Amino acid sequence: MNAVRSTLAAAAALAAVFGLSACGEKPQTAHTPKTDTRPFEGPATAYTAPGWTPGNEASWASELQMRTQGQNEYVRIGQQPTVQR
Amino acid sequence: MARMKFICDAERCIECNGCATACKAEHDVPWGVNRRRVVTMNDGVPGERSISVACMHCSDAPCMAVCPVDCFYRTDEGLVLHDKDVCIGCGYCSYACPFGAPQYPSNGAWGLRGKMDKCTFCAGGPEPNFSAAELEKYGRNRLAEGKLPLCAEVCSTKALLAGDGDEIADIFRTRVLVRGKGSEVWGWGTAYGKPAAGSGGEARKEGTKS
Repeated sequence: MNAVRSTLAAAAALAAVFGLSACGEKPQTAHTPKTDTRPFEGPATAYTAPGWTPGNEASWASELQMRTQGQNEYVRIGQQPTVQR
Repeated sequence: MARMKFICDAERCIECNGCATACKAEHDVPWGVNRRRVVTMNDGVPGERSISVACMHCSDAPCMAVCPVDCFYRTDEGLVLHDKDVCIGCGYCSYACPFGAPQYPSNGAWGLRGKMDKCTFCAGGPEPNFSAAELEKYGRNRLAEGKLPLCAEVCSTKALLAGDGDEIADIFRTRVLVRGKGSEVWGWGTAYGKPAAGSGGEARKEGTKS
């Protein structure tokens, strides 16, 4: 009987430890605003778009310009738009 | 590189919510926060328009002006970002923003509290690029991967444009010039072309079945 009781008590204590572990807060310290790294500075990852070299601002800007123009149908279909007057 | 901006073309937005869904999934946005959402006016009546709204990365951002702890900063690309380690969750920015961009998580013991969250133009935050801290606090950093924000890249009708402000303004301007305005924008002429003179097209335009 005592063994069962002590097992139950141990299980309850373990459950309490695990259950309350989520109640803690991450440590917070006072900060001043940090300086951000520029987007073209990289580093390269598996998801880096092909077509530019991390660290090279000009190639990054040209890659983004290419993607921006990808939103323009007239560039994608290779036709000059006919403007209505 | 000039200033990065968003433009949403209300004539093209079909209220699919693809942008909002992509944003939510890409950045694992906290419960109760929608960095991007689609607003519809005159829902269900002729003239209905939808527009996708998020942080517009204002040139003279009111959120930056009112923040008492100065947690906002502007990047060289013209993006208005914030530092969650400095934010005290006071909520001033959410009252100041005309677009409702800064929002607060709705879970937790204190309800609408916590660190403010907003659209980052998929540019992360002040943490080092691709760091675990950046991913957890701000989401993916697509700009550092050489990509545009996902909301614009997934937009099926290209209603939502993102990129250099001058370039996307040119794209939008050309569209408007091509499609015209008023009744020319949508309807028979847009779908099937303008009828040639004497072809009887005018009768079909009136709605007569052929």
